Amino acid sequence: MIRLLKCEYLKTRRRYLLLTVIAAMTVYFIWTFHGSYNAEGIRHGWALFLYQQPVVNTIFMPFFCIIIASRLSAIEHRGAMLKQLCTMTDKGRLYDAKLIYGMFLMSFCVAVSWIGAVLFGMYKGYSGVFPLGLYGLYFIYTLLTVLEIYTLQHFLAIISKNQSVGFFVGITGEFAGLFSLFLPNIEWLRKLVPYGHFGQLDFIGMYGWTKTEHMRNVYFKLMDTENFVFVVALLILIFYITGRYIFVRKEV
Amino acid sequence: MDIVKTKELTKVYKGSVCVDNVNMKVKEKSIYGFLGPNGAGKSTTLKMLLGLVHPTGGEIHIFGKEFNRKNRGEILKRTGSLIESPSYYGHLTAYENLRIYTTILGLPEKNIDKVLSIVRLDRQKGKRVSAYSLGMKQRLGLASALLSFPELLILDEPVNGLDPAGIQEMRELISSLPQKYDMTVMVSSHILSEIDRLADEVGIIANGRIMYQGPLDALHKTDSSKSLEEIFIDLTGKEKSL
Ligand SMILES: Nc1ncnc2c1ncn2[C@@H]1O[C@H](COP(=O)(O)OP(=O)(O)O)[C@@H](O)[C@H]1O
Ligand SMILES: [Mg+2]
Repeated sequence: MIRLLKCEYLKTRRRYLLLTVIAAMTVYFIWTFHGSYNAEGIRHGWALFLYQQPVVNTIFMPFFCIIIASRLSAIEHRGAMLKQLCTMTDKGRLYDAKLIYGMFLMSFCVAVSWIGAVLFGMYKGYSGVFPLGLYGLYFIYTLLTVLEIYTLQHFLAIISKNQSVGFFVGITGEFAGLFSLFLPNIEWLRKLVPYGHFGQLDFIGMYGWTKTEHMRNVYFKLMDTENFVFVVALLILIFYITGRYIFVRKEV
Repeated sequence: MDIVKTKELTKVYKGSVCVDNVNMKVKEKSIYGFLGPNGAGKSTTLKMLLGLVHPTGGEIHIFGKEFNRKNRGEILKRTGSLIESPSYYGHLTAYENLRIYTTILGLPEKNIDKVLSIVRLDRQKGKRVSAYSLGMKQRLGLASALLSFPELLILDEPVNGLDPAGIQEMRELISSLPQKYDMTVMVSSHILSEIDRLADEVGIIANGRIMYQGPLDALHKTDSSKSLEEIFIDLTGKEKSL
């Protein structure tokens, strides 16, 4: 497996994969941190970030998954490499190696975005103590959702020569995910669409916001996170097992 | 000993029989020419020998072992292959492409330069493969098949699309392999002239069925009034009109 992972690295040389990741992260940060920060915002900075970020993640993270999964698999399809590789190694292990490599890249994205958010908060001087516990939870939940989406996008990218299949499903899912965030009443939609699971991270609720008073009397409260981890872990497992099964059975 | 032996090997695609009860025998250290018109079932047969396509029926024995899920890895370790169009990463150089294979297979890196000089790509090894001509890509494909110096080499239409000089070069290369490296070679083609004088034995396939198997000169003797080409067309055409 170490050999196969090393191969994934060797294959992506000169594909500017890291550059792609950095460019994507730059856009992500500009989007996240642009805008004016008034005194109220800074006072509630740490909580406000956790409150807002799931929406930003829903917009960006699936997109990163689509791009990375597609880039890693397209090189195999373009050069008709799968048939060659399958005579040299086990098909299932090839599936795993590519998945792990992509997950590693996505974890890197999530980690960088997390560190960036913390550093930005310190730089802006958010008041209050840094809520490490909450941010730890936020990190774990975001990472889990990203891995869940990646597992699905990886399957779509590797199974079909045509990368637009993955793009289409991914973008549709992303819109459904966004939609589910803004219609929080449709609980089942939220639960069903993996791309909207960042919304489950909405474990910070904001109360007491008014038009005139703005955030003067606002307070944040930890919401019930329910069985989120269980649902996501289960979906990752389902996507992984069925995806791998179909890939291994498919003739190249 | 027969290095490759199939028994009633069959592949059915959605009701249409594409490989039909093929019994094939390939002798050790020989060159076996696998001949047949386009769509006859050559690639599908060879893919089954490599485990890329699952047979609908029949048996495969390679190196005297049954080819099944358990033995597959061990057999493939001793086999090199080039199936249909050559596989490559266009954004990498020939050397980098082969380095991926040596990494997967755990082979020494010095094999790379060795096979590149065998296929005469050593001077262009630093160039990106996307800039290669078709002939060069085919030779790179052959290089990757040779990388482990396997006992069995399976080449599917290795000269397809090459110019006459390229075909000649490839033929010389292939014909030298059994003596030089103790290899058994299976090479397929849809053009008789590419195979004759190269192969020790041929299997002629049409519509999934083996129409003839044995030495080419024995086939010639069956009807000396006709040229080899005519006999070949007779054999493969007969099936079509049925
Ligand atoms: N994956 C597939 N699905 C359905 N039919 C196939 C498939 N692969 C090959 N065939 C059919 O099997 C026949 C033999 O194909 P092939 O083995 O590629 O022939 P050859 O290599 O001799 O030109 C053709 O008629 C082809 O259309
Ligand atoms: Mg073919």
